[in-house]
Amino acid sequence: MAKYIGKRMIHLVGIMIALSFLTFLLMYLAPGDPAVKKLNAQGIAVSPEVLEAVRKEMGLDRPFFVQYGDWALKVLRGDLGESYKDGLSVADKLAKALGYTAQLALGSMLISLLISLPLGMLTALKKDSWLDYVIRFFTFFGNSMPNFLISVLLMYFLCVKARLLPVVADRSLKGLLLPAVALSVPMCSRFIRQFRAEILEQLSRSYVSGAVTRGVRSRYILFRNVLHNASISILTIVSLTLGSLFGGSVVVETIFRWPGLGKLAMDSITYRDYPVIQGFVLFTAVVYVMVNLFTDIAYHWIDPRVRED
Amino acid sequence: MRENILTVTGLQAGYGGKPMIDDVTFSLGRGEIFCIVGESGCGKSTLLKALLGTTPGLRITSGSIRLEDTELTQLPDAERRELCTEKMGMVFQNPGSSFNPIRSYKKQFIETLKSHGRYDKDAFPQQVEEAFGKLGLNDVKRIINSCPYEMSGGMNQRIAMAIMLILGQDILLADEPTSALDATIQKQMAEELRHLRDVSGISMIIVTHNLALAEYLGDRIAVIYSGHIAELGDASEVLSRPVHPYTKSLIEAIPTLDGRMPTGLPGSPPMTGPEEKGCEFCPRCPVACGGCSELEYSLRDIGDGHFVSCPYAKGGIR
Amino acid sequence: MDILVDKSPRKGAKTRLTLFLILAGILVVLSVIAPKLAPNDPYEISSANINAAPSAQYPMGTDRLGRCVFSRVLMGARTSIFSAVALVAITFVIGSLLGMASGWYGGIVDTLIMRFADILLAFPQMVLAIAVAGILGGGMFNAMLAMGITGWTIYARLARAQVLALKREAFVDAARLSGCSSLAIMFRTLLPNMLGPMIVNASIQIGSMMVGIAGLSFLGIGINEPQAEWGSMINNSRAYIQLAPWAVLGPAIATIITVMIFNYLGDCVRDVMDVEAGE
Repeated sequence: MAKYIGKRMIHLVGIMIALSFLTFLLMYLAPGDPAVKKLNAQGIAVSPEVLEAVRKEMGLDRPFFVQYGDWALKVLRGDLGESYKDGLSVADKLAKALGYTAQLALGSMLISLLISLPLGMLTALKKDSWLDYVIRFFTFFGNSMPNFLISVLLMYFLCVKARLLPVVADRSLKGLLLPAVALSVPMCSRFIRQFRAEILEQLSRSYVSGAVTRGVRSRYILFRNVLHNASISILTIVSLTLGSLFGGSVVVETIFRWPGLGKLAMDSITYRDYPVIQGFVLFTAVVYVMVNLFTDIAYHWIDPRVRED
Repeated sequence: MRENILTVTGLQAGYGGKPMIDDVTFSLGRGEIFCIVGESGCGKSTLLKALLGTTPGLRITSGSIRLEDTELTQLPDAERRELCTEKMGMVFQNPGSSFNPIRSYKKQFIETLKSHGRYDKDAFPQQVEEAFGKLGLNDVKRIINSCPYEMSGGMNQRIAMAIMLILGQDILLADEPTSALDATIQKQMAEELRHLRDVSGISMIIVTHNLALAEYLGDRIAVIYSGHIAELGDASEVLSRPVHPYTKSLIEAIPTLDGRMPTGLPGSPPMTGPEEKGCEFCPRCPVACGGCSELEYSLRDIGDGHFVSCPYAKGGIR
Repeated sequence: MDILVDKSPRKGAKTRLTLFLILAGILVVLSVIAPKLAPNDPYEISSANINAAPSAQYPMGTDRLGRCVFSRVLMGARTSIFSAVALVAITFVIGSLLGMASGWYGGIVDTLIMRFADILLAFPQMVLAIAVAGILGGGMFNAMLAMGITGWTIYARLARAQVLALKREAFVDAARLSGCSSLAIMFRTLLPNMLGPMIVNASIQIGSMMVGIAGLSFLGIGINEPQAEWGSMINNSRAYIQLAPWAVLGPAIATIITVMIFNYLGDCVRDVMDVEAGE
């Protein structure tokens, strides 16, 4: 186990270096002169002299790899640079937004699990019944609805038509509800299908018929064996989803003006605030990679067969 | 007079209205080992599943099964299942697979006992110790706390028997108990099954395509062809003096070590299940005549508890 | 509670595949002949008809600039379907070629290509797409590029796995011994044998690519006005949703129906392939 974690950690360092390089390259290749962008973002008139000074100040006259190394060392110290727009630290901005994104991610995950675990089990046990067909139709429907569509429709029907909730979300629990629900609809749809498939797979294993033959109660078979074994892949599905949720859901956050990472990223794109975009991409990728790593480790921990390798 | 624990009369069962076995009649004595042999697809596994009654979709369409004094076919499904799983246990072909591979035996034993309302926390270690002792398993603590994936196939099968002993079940059903094991362990497994019967008095119905195993283990034997019993009787009698042409062909098809090639059976068995009319073996039968395809199926007593379905065999129509 | 489940595979997979192929075919045909079907000029701005309710002349009403929503939805089908199918086709070809090269040559080629794919997959897909599209600015090409940057990796991994598995088969040795060149073996022998599972994946991808591109357009960093595209239509009309809900609901319903049909199609293709693999 320790050896496995060690191996993954070494692998992780490699991935991180590659990630940072790619992120830097992305901004380096972005069309336009960063110095011009910075000046434009700050609303300063671009003259040759000013531009020259700013280029020097930003270190843009140095070779590519020197620039990358300089940037990477700063990143290691937690310095992601300053926003072009307001000069504030990118790391601080990201940290502040992360709190909101985490609320949204965990909230929508909670809603999704509360709905999809029971429904996934139910549809698996009642396979090919009318209930199964109805629920599966809805999951297909939900799965085919882009996030922005759900958000706009929810807003229209709940806020504008029924006037149940405020159109612009405040930062309370009530404000969290709508974006969380908007995120959960496609998530639930996917989860129900995946959980159903996994539970059906487990139910078809011979240990289930073995237990039935021994006269073991269905309750024990389902909750102590099938769910236990299914939890391995359910955990994988859930944490991978959580990983990408922590990247902020740009669409939903933008529509509901929820001040998370996604909204921050979209605002930065509008302002061409490159350091923030860069920080956002790197940060979400790191979170995503870390979540994947923890999933793998947890997976090795639940399944004793893998634990021994 | 021997005491019958299970009596099956005129049993017909199958999936979706299509019978897989028909008019199956036999009885199982207390402490007896009864072997059912036949080629794959002949309905021998279906028979076993029909007796146990836990397979979804498998329906008994006529006939009766009496377990001690209870008529099983008259019971509601749930009650029947409860009674059957209480009295009968099953050993599967793939031995590791009847337990959840990643939960400890201990947890799965306790679940089983609890389901039968028989779990006693204080008595449990003693029960396990005793059952494992009868099966010649040492190192009880380590085994009971390990997971099935850590154990060999043979070990898994013995542990499956241990739970039967703890439950005090009367009948062991086994579906090809040795065919998934290595050749060297097959013999050992057979010995253990016999040993288990000797020490516990449990009755067994063993389904196999392996005639040698049937000869070694079986007190009595039934040969099944296409869902009908072709021949039934004392194991040594049937295998040494077979009267049904199918039984004879089966015995001749056994490979021997003296370099003679076995005489194979021409053609392949029908996969369509029992027919309404006529002997299903007719197309492959060396002694068949025109009348075979017209005959009603019936099992004929030719003395000493030896039964045969072929009317032309020994003392029948000539 | 009956816990043992019926394991028989779903029946009628082929019938359903035919049905959804026909439905998808209808959508494609509709999108091709959209200019002929559109009752009005989808780009004509009319200040007299701003946010007009559905009528005989404008079956889905008009939007905030007085354009015919129905005509724009029809033209939008063209944009959405064309861009999604083209994107899947391009990533399919590029990914398969890279994956085949990776599996066939192995060594440094394999390491370079697959590590690159791994690193791209370390980013959440939409984050990378939004960053790329955002930096490059809008436009159909940039949106497709943004989605395609990670899109090809699925096919590359699949193709590589297939080649590795097939390489051990006897018929590949036979082809090699009979003097076929690497390229000839790859394209004549390997390709036909590995297309099945790859097509399943491609068909499943069409729906999600459509959603991805529509999402980018909705955010204003994909396909932009005045070009008719459902995502950007919904975005630009949502401020007027109280006045003219039809301008949002029209493209919304079109998106849902189209994505559903393509998703179902992908599922059916997979079911049919599963059934055939099972037989």
